Amino acid sequence: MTDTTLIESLLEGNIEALGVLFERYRHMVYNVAYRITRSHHDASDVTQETFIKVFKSISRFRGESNVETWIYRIAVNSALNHLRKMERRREEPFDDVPEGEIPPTKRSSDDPGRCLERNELRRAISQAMRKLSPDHRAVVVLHDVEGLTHAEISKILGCSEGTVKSRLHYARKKLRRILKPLVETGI
Amino acid sequence: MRLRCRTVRGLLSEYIDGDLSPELHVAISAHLSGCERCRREIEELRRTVELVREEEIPMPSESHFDELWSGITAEIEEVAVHTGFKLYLMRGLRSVRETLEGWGISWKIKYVVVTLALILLSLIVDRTLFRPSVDEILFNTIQRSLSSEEAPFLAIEVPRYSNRPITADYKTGLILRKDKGRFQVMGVMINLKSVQIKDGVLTLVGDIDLSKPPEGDDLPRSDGIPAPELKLKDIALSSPSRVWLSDSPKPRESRLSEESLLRSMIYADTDAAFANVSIGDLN
Repeated sequence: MTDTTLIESLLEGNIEALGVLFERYRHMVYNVAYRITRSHHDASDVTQETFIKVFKSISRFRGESNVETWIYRIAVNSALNHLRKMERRREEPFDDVPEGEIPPTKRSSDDPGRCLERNELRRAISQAMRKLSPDHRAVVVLHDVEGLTHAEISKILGCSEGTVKSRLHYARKKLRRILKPLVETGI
Repeated sequence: MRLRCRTVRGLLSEYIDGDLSPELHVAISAHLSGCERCRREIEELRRTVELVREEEIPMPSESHFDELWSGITAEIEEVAVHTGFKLYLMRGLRSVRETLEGWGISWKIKYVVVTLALILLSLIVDRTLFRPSVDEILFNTIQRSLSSEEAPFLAIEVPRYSNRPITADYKTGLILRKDKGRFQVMGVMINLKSVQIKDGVLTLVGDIDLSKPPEGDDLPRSDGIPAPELKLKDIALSSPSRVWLSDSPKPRESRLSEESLLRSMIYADTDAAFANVSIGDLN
Protein backbone atom coordinates (compact mmCIF):
# COMPACT_ATOMS: atom_id res chain seq x y z
CA MET A 1 0.00 0.00 0.00
CA THR A 2 1.52 3.36 -0.99
CA ASP A 3 1.88 6.26 1.41
CA THR A 4 -0.67 8.27 -0.56
CA THR A 5 -3.21 5.46 -0.26
CA LEU A 6 -2.57 5.31 3.47
CA ILE A 7 -3.14 9.06 3.80
CA GLU A 8 -6.43 8.76 1.90
CA SER A 9 -7.45 5.89 4.14
CA LEU A 10 -6.56 7.93 7.22
CA LEU A 11 -8.64 10.81 5.90
CA GLU A 12 -11.55 8.39 5.79
CA GLY A 13 -11.03 7.85 9.51
CA ASN A 14 -9.18 4.53 9.29
CA ILE A 15 -6.74 4.63 12.22
CA GLU A 16 -5.13 1.36 11.10
CA ALA A 17 -3.56 3.33 8.26
CA LEU A 18 -1.65 5.32 10.87
CA GLY A 19 -0.44 2.03 12.29
CA VAL A 20 1.07 1.13 8.92
CA LEU A 21 2.74 4.55 8.69
CA PHE A 22 4.08 4.03 12.22
CA GLU A 23 5.53 0.64 11.25
CA ARG A 24 7.08 2.20 8.17
CA TYR A 25 8.61 5.36 9.61
CA ARG A 26 9.06 4.80 13.35
CA HIS A 27 12.80 4.10 13.04
CA MET A 28 13.37 7.16 10.90
CA VAL A 29 11.44 9.33 13.36
CA TYR A 30 13.09 7.82 16.42
CA ASN A 31 16.53 8.15 14.86
CA VAL A 32 16.27 11.85 14.08
CA ALA A 33 14.51 12.51 17.39
CA TYR A 34 17.32 10.85 19.29
CA ARG A 35 20.02 12.65 17.34
CA ILE A 36 18.45 16.00 18.20
CA THR A 37 17.38 15.34 21.79
CA ARG A 38 20.23 12.98 22.71
CA SER A 39 17.93 11.10 25.05
CA HIS A 40 16.06 7.86 24.50
CA HIS A 41 13.36 9.00 26.87
CA ASP A 42 12.82 12.22 24.92
CA ALA A 43 13.15 10.46 21.57
CA SER A 44 10.32 8.13 22.65
CA ASP A 45 8.16 11.10 23.61
CA VAL A 46 8.93 12.83 20.32
CA THR A 47 8.11 9.68 18.34
CA GLN A 48 4.69 9.49 19.97
CA GLU A 49 4.12 13.21 19.55
CA THR A 50 5.07 13.03 15.88
CA PHE A 51 2.51 10.36 14.98
CA ILE A 52 -0.19 12.03 17.06
CA LYS A 53 0.50 15.24 15.14
CA VAL A 54 0.36 13.32 11.87
CA PHE A 55 -3.12 12.16 12.83
CA LYS A 56 -4.28 15.54 14.08
CA SER A 57 -3.01 17.48 11.08
CA ILE A 58 -3.77 14.93 8.39
CA SER A 59 -6.41 17.24 6.93
CA ARG A 60 -3.70 19.86 6.31
CA PHE A 61 -1.50 17.52 4.28
CA ARG A 62 -1.57 18.98 0.79
CA GLY A 63 0.58 16.45 -0.95
CA GLU A 64 3.08 19.14 -1.93
CA SER A 65 5.88 17.06 -0.45
CA ASN A 66 5.93 13.31 -0.14
CA VAL A 67 4.59 11.67 3.00
CA GLU A 68 8.03 10.66 4.27
CA THR A 69 9.34 14.24 4.05
CA TRP A 70 6.20 15.54 5.72
CA ILE A 71 6.52 13.12 8.65
CA TYR A 72 10.23 13.81 8.84
CA ARG A 73 9.60 17.54 9.14
CA ILE A 74 7.02 17.01 11.87
CA ALA A 75 9.53 14.84 13.72
CA VAL A 76 12.32 17.43 13.47
CA ASN A 77 10.04 20.26 14.59
CA SER A 78 8.63 18.16 17.42
CA ALA A 79 12.13 17.31 18.61
CA LEU A 80 13.18 20.96 18.50
CA ASN A 81 10.04 22.08 20.32
CA HIS A 82 10.63 19.39 22.90
CA LEU A 83 14.14 20.67 23.51
CA ARG A 84 12.97 24.28 23.72
CA LYS A 85 10.34 23.32 26.26
CA MET A 86 12.98 21.52 28.29
CA GLU A 87 15.27 24.53 28.07
CA ARG A 88 12.51 26.72 29.45
CA ARG A 89 12.07 24.27 32.31
CA ARG A 90 15.88 24.05 32.62
CA GLU A 91 15.83 20.28 32.38
CA GLU A 92 18.88 18.42 31.20
CA PRO A 93 18.38 15.61 28.71
CA PHE A 94 19.90 12.36 29.84
CA ASP A 95 21.34 9.68 27.67
CA ASP A 96 19.33 6.83 29.07
CA VAL A 97 18.78 3.44 27.55
CA PRO A 98 15.25 2.17 27.02
CA GLU A 99 14.27 -1.12 28.54
CA GLY A 100 14.86 -4.08 26.29
CA GLU A 101 17.23 -2.24 23.99
CA ILE A 102 20.06 -4.15 22.45
CA PRO A 103 22.50 -1.54 21.21
CA PRO A 104 24.45 -2.61 18.16
CA THR A 105 27.64 -1.84 20.07
CA LYS A 106 26.94 -4.78 22.39
CA ARG A 107 26.36 -7.47 19.79
CA SER A 108 27.89 -10.74 20.91
CA SER A 109 29.44 -11.38 17.50
CA ASP A 110 31.68 -8.34 17.85
CA ASP A 111 35.30 -8.53 18.80
CA PRO A 112 35.54 -7.34 22.48
CA GLY A 113 38.32 -4.83 21.69
CA ARG A 114 36.44 -3.38 18.75
CA CYS A 115 33.27 -3.28 20.82
CA LEU A 116 35.02 -1.29 23.54
CA GLU A 117 36.40 1.12 20.98
CA ARG A 118 32.99 1.66 19.41
CA ASN A 119 31.40 2.21 22.78
CA GLU A 120 34.04 4.78 23.64
CA LEU A 121 33.55 6.45 20.29
CA ARG A 122 29.79 6.57 20.67
CA ARG A 123 30.04 8.03 24.15
CA ALA A 124 32.52 10.69 23.01
CA ILE A 125 30.37 11.73 20.04
CA SER A 126 27.25 11.74 22.17
CA GLN A 127 28.87 13.95 24.79
CA ALA A 128 30.20 16.29 22.13
CA MET A 129 26.79 16.60 20.50
CA ARG A 130 25.13 17.32 23.83
CA LYS A 131 27.50 20.23 24.33
CA LEU A 132 26.01 21.97 21.29
CA SER A 133 22.99 24.23 21.65
CA PRO A 134 19.73 22.70 20.32
CA ASP A 135 19.73 24.95 17.25
CA HIS A 136 23.36 24.15 16.42
CA ARG A 137 22.80 20.46 17.04
CA ALA A 138 19.78 20.44 14.77
CA VAL A 139 21.75 22.00 11.92
CA VAL A 140 24.56 19.44 12.28
CA VAL A 141 22.08 16.55 12.34
CA LEU A 142 20.06 17.80 9.40
CA HIS A 143 23.09 18.70 7.27
CA ASP A 144 25.84 16.27 8.14
CA VAL A 145 23.78 13.24 9.10
CA GLU A 146 20.55 13.57 7.15
CA GLY A 147 22.15 15.27 4.15
CA LEU A 148 19.65 18.11 3.77
CA THR A 149 20.66 21.24 1.88
CA HIS A 150 21.00 24.64 3.52
CA ALA A 151 17.79 25.75 1.80
CA GLU A 152 15.83 22.75 3.09
CA ILE A 153 17.15 23.26 6.62
CA SER A 154 16.31 26.96 6.56
CA LYS A 155 12.72 26.06 5.65
CA ILE A 156 12.39 23.50 8.43
CA LEU A 157 13.96 25.73 11.08
CA GLY A 158 12.37 28.94 9.83
CA CYS A 159 15.62 30.88 9.54
CA SER A 160 17.76 32.21 6.70
CA GLU A 161 20.27 30.13 4.78
CA GLY A 162 22.99 32.44 6.05
CA THR A 163 22.02 31.58 9.62
CA VAL A 164 22.12 27.88 8.78
CA LYS A 165 25.65 28.21 7.33
CA SER A 166 26.83 30.24 10.28
CA ARG A 167 25.41 27.76 12.82
CA LEU A 168 26.95 24.87 10.92
CA HIS A 169 30.36 26.57 10.89
CA TYR A 170 30.39 27.25 14.64
CA ALA A 171 28.90 23.89 15.55
CA ARG A 172 31.50 21.99 13.54
CA LYS A 173 34.27 24.14 14.96
CA LYS A 174 33.16 23.28 18.48
CA LEU A 175 32.78 19.60 17.67
CA ARG A 176 36.25 19.52 16.14
CA ARG A 177 37.71 21.07 19.28
CA ILE A 178 35.92 18.60 21.56
CA LEU A 179 36.64 15.52 19.45
CA LYS A 180 40.23 16.49 18.64
CA PRO A 181 41.82 14.05 21.14
CA LEU A 182 39.76 11.24 19.64
CA VAL A 183 40.57 12.23 16.06
CA GLU A 184 44.29 12.42 16.86
CA THR A 185 44.24 8.81 18.09
CA GLY A 186 43.23 7.83 14.56
CA ILE A 187 39.95 6.09 15.48
CA MET B 1 44.32 35.31 -4.88
CA ARG B 2 46.48 34.95 -1.79
CA LEU B 3 44.75 34.10 1.46
CA ARG B 4 45.88 34.27 5.08
CA CYS B 5 45.52 31.26 7.43
CA ARG B 6 42.90 33.09 9.53
CA THR B 7 40.71 33.70 6.46
CA VAL B 8 41.06 30.12 5.26
CA ARG B 9 40.12 28.64 8.65
CA GLY B 10 36.97 30.74 8.65
CA LEU B 11 35.94 29.17 5.33
CA LEU B 12 36.87 25.53 5.89
CA SER B 13 33.32 24.46 6.74
CA GLU B 14 31.96 25.82 3.47
CA TYR B 15 35.04 24.53 1.62
CA ILE B 16 34.40 20.90 2.57
CA ASP B 17 30.75 21.31 1.57
CA GLY B 18 31.72 22.80 -1.81
CA ASP B 19 29.68 25.90 -1.12
CA LEU B 20 32.33 28.46 -2.16
CA SER B 21 32.75 30.21 -5.48
CA PRO B 22 35.15 28.40 -7.87
CA GLU B 23 37.74 31.20 -7.48
CA LEU B 24 37.70 31.01 -3.69
CA HIS B 25 37.75 27.22 -3.76
CA VAL B 26 40.85 27.22 -5.95
CA ALA B 27 42.51 29.84 -3.75
CA ILE B 28 41.93 27.80 -0.60
CA SER B 29 43.13 24.61 -2.29
CA ALA B 30 46.32 26.46 -3.23
CA HIS B 31 46.75 27.67 0.34
CA LEU B 32 46.20 24.21 1.77
CA SER B 33 48.83 22.66 -0.49
CA GLY B 34 51.41 24.94 1.07
CA CYS B 35 50.17 25.18 4.67
CA GLU B 36 50.64 22.15 6.89
CA ARG B 37 48.72 23.63 9.83
CA CYS B 38 45.60 24.49 7.81
CA ARG B 39 45.78 21.11 6.09
CA ARG B 40 45.79 19.38 9.46
CA GLU B 41 42.86 21.47 10.55
CA ILE B 42 40.75 20.60 7.52
CA GLU B 43 41.52 16.92 7.96
CA GLU B 44 40.37 17.12 11.57
CA LEU B 45 37.21 18.86 10.49
CA ARG B 46 36.49 16.25 7.80
CA ARG B 47 37.05 13.42 10.25
CA THR B 48 34.82 15.12 12.82
CA VAL B 49 31.98 15.36 10.32
CA GLU B 50 32.52 11.70 9.39
CA LEU B 51 32.39 10.62 13.03
CA VAL B 52 29.12 12.45 13.59
CA ARG B 53 27.67 11.02 10.39
CA GLU B 54 28.72 7.47 11.23
CA GLU B 55 27.44 7.55 14.79
CA GLU B 56 25.32 4.49 15.46
CA ILE B 57 22.03 5.18 17.17
CA PRO B 58 20.87 2.19 19.18
CA MET B 59 17.23 1.44 18.45
CA PRO B 60 14.82 0.43 21.17
CA SER B 61 13.34 -3.05 21.19
CA GLU B 62 10.16 -3.93 19.32
CA SER B 63 8.30 -4.14 22.62
CA HIS B 64 9.30 -0.55 23.36
CA PHE B 65 7.85 0.54 20.01
CA ASP B 66 4.71 -1.44 20.83
CA GLU B 67 4.37 0.58 24.04
CA LEU B 68 4.82 3.80 22.09
CA TRP B 69 2.08 2.73 19.69
CA SER B 70 -0.25 1.94 22.61
CA GLY B 71 0.33 5.45 23.93
CA ILE B 72 -0.39 6.92 20.50
CA THR B 73 -3.67 5.04 20.09
CA ALA B 74 -4.80 6.02 23.60
CA GLU B 75 -4.15 9.68 22.80
CA ILE B 76 -5.75 9.42 19.39
CA GLU B 77 -8.96 8.00 20.80
CA GLU B 78 -9.36 11.23 22.76
CA VAL B 79 -8.93 13.45 19.72
CA ALA B 80 -10.62 11.14 17.24
CA VAL B 81 -14.06 12.60 17.81
CA HIS B 82 -12.83 16.13 17.23
CA THR B 83 -10.72 15.16 14.25
CA GLY B 84 -13.50 13.01 12.88
CA PHE B 85 -15.90 15.95 13.07
CA LYS B 86 -13.33 18.18 11.37
CA LEU B 87 -12.86 15.67 8.57
CA TYR B 88 -16.63 15.30 8.25
CA LEU B 89 -16.95 19.08 8.00
CA MET B 90 -14.19 19.22 5.42
CA ARG B 91 -15.85 16.56 3.33
CA GLY B 92 -19.08 18.56 3.58
CA LEU B 93 -17.37 21.75 2.48
CA ARG B 94 -15.72 19.89 -0.36
CA SER B 95 -19.06 18.66 -1.61
CA VAL B 96 -20.46 22.22 -1.31
CA ARG B 97 -17.51 23.50 -3.32
CA GLU B 98 -18.00 20.89 -5.98
CA THR B 99 -21.70 21.72 -6.19
CA LEU B 100 -21.00 25.45 -6.45
CA GLU B 101 -18.30 24.88 -9.03
CA GLY B 102 -20.78 22.76 -10.92
CA TRP B 103 -23.05 25.81 -11.00
CA GLY B 104 -20.20 27.91 -12.35
CA ILE B 105 -19.74 29.90 -9.13
CA SER B 106 -16.13 30.84 -8.53
CA TRP B 107 -14.06 29.75 -5.54
CA LYS B 108 -13.81 33.31 -4.14
CA ILE B 109 -17.58 33.89 -4.26
CA LYS B 110 -18.05 30.58 -2.51
CA TYR B 111 -15.80 31.77 0.31
CA VAL B 112 -17.86 34.93 0.73
CA VAL B 113 -21.14 32.99 0.71
CA VAL B 114 -19.93 30.41 3.20
CA THR B 115 -18.44 33.09 5.48
CA LEU B 116 -21.65 35.12 5.47
CA ALA B 117 -23.69 32.00 6.16
CA LEU B 118 -21.46 31.09 9.09
CA ILE B 119 -21.65 34.62 10.53
CA LEU B 120 -25.44 34.59 10.23
CA LEU B 121 -25.62 31.16 11.81
CA SER B 122 -23.37 32.17 14.71
CA LEU B 123 -25.52 35.24 15.37
CA ILE B 124 -28.68 33.15 15.42
CA VAL B 125 -27.13 30.53 17.66
CA ASP B 126 -25.68 33.15 20.01
CA ARG B 127 -29.02 34.90 20.43
CA THR B 128 -31.20 31.90 20.81
CA LEU B 129 -29.60 28.68 21.93
CA PHE B 130 -26.73 29.48 24.19
CA ARG B 131 -27.83 32.59 26.00
CA PRO B 132 -28.73 31.66 29.54
CA SER B 133 -31.87 33.06 31.02
CA VAL B 134 -31.70 36.28 32.96
CA ASP B 135 -32.87 34.58 36.12
CA GLU B 136 -30.24 31.91 35.78
CA ILE B 137 -27.45 34.43 35.37
CA LEU B 138 -28.67 36.58 38.22
CA PHE B 139 -29.10 33.69 40.58
CA ASN B 140 -25.77 32.01 39.85
CA THR B 141 -23.80 35.22 39.97
CA ILE B 142 -25.32 36.39 43.19
CA GLN B 143 -24.97 33.01 44.84
CA ARG B 144 -21.34 32.81 43.80
CA SER B 145 -20.57 36.31 44.93
CA LEU B 146 -22.24 35.92 48.27
CA SER B 147 -19.68 33.32 49.26
CA SER B 148 -16.79 35.70 48.67
CA GLU B 149 -15.73 38.86 50.44
CA GLU B 150 -15.38 41.03 47.40
CA ALA B 151 -18.79 42.27 46.36
CA PRO B 152 -20.11 45.55 47.64
CA PHE B 153 -22.09 46.44 44.53
CA LEU B 154 -24.49 44.57 42.33
CA ALA B 155 -24.31 45.63 38.74
CA ILE B 156 -26.06 44.35 35.66
CA GLU B 157 -24.31 44.46 32.34
CA VAL B 158 -26.32 44.97 29.21
CA PRO B 159 -24.61 43.98 25.99
CA ARG B 160 -23.73 46.65 23.50
CA TYR B 161 -25.41 44.65 20.79
CA SER B 162 -28.54 43.92 22.74
CA ASN B 163 -31.57 43.92 20.48
CA ARG B 164 -33.43 45.48 23.39
CA PRO B 165 -31.29 48.43 24.39
CA ILE B 166 -31.64 49.61 27.96
CA THR B 167 -33.40 52.83 28.66
CA ALA B 168 -32.65 55.46 31.23
CA ASP B 169 -35.29 54.04 33.57
CA TYR B 170 -33.25 50.93 34.19
CA LYS B 171 -29.91 52.62 34.46
CA THR B 172 -30.10 53.73 38.04
CA GLY B 173 -29.31 52.46 41.42
CA LEU B 174 -27.04 51.58 44.24
CA ILE B 175 -27.95 48.54 46.23
CA LEU B 176 -25.72 46.44 48.36
CA ARG B 177 -22.67 46.88 50.46
CA LYS B 178 -21.09 43.76 51.82
CA ASP B 179 -19.38 43.67 55.20
CA LYS B 180 -17.99 40.34 56.46
CA GLY B 181 -20.84 38.18 55.25
CA ARG B 182 -23.51 40.76 56.08
CA PHE B 183 -25.00 43.28 53.76
CA GLN B 184 -25.56 46.89 54.38
CA VAL B 185 -28.55 48.22 52.52
CA MET B 186 -28.93 51.93 52.72
CA GLY B 187 -27.14 51.94 56.07
CA VAL B 188 -28.88 48.89 57.62
CA MET B 189 -26.87 45.76 58.23
CA ILE B 190 -28.61 42.58 57.08
CA ASN B 191 -27.62 38.96 57.64
CA LEU B 192 -28.66 37.47 54.35
CA LYS B 193 -30.59 34.19 54.43
CA SER B 194 -31.68 33.53 50.89
CA VAL B 195 -31.81 34.85 47.37
CA GLN B 196 -34.89 34.27 45.24
CA ILE B 197 -35.80 35.31 41.76
CA LYS B 198 -39.34 35.07 40.56
CA ASP B 199 -41.18 36.81 37.76
CA GLY B 200 -38.30 39.17 37.13
CA VAL B 201 -38.03 40.28 40.74
CA LEU B 202 -34.91 39.62 42.79
CA THR B 203 -35.66 39.14 46.44
CA LEU B 204 -33.00 39.09 49.14
CA VAL B 205 -34.27 37.83 52.48
CA GLY B 206 -32.45 38.27 55.76
CA ASP B 207 -32.46 39.42 59.36
CA ILE B 208 -31.57 42.95 60.29
CA ASP B 209 -28.42 42.89 62.37
CA LEU B 210 -29.36 44.44 65.67
CA SER B 211 -25.83 44.38 66.98
CA LYS B 212 -24.84 47.32 64.82
CA PRO B 213 -26.75 50.59 64.91
CA PRO B 214 -27.94 51.87 61.54
CA GLU B 215 -26.01 54.68 59.98
CA GLY B 216 -27.33 57.87 58.42
CA ASP B 217 -30.73 59.50 58.51
CA ASP B 218 -34.21 58.22 57.62
CA LEU B 219 -33.39 54.63 58.41
CA PRO B 220 -36.03 52.08 59.37
CA ARG B 221 -36.30 50.93 62.92
CA SER B 222 -35.06 47.43 63.48
CA ASP B 223 -37.77 46.73 66.07
CA GLY B 224 -40.49 44.53 64.64
CA ILE B 225 -38.74 43.70 61.40
CA PRO B 226 -37.31 40.21 62.01
CA ALA B 227 -37.03 39.12 58.38
CA PRO B 228 -37.15 41.94 55.89
CA GLU B 229 -37.24 41.34 52.17
CA LEU B 230 -35.34 43.40 49.70
CA LYS B 231 -37.02 43.40 46.29
CA LEU B 232 -35.28 44.65 43.22
CA LYS B 233 -37.81 45.16 40.48
CA ASP B 234 -37.45 45.44 36.75
CA ILE B 235 -34.07 43.79 36.64
CA ALA B 236 -35.12 41.31 34.01
CA LEU B 237 -36.53 44.03 31.82
CA SER B 238 -33.08 45.39 31.11
CA SER B 239 -32.15 42.22 29.24
CA PRO B 240 -28.78 41.75 30.89
CA SER B 241 -26.23 39.35 29.51
CA ARG B 242 -24.06 39.34 32.60
CA VAL B 243 -24.50 40.29 36.20
CA TRP B 244 -21.75 40.75 38.67
CA LEU B 245 -21.08 41.95 42.14
CA SER B 246 -18.12 44.24 41.71
CA ASP B 247 -15.56 45.61 44.07
CA SER B 248 -16.70 49.12 43.43
CA PRO B 249 -17.51 51.26 40.42
CA LYS B 250 -14.33 53.03 39.47
CA PRO B 251 -14.89 56.69 40.33
CA ARG B 252 -14.52 59.02 37.44
CA GLU B 253 -15.23 62.08 39.53
CA SER B 254 -14.41 61.52 43.16
CA ARG B 255 -16.26 64.60 44.38
CA LEU B 256 -19.62 63.05 43.50
CA SER B 257 -21.67 61.19 46.08
CA GLU B 258 -21.98 57.43 45.55
CA GLU B 259 -25.41 57.50 44.04
CA SER B 260 -24.79 60.41 41.72
CA LEU B 261 -21.46 58.85 40.90
CA LEU B 262 -23.20 55.69 39.81
CA ARG B 263 -25.74 57.58 37.84
CA SER B 264 -22.95 59.50 36.18
CA MET B 265 -21.10 56.34 35.34
CA ILE B 266 -24.17 54.62 34.05
CA TYR B 267 -24.97 57.39 31.64
CA ALA B 268 -21.34 57.53 30.52
CA ASP B 269 -21.10 53.80 29.93
CA THR B 270 -24.04 52.20 28.20
CA ASP B 271 -22.73 48.75 29.05
CA ALA B 272 -23.69 49.00 32.68
CA ALA B 273 -26.94 49.36 34.48
CA PHE B 274 -27.60 49.17 38.20
CA ALA B 275 -30.77 48.01 39.84
CA ASN B 276 -32.26 50.57 42.13
CA VAL B 277 -33.54 50.05 45.63
CA SER B 278 -35.24 52.46 47.90
CA ILE B 279 -35.70 52.29 51.63
CA GLY B 280 -39.36 51.48 51.15
CA ASP B 281 -38.48 48.18 49.46
CA LEU B 282 -37.24 46.76 52.71
CA ASN B 283 -40.70 45.79 53.85
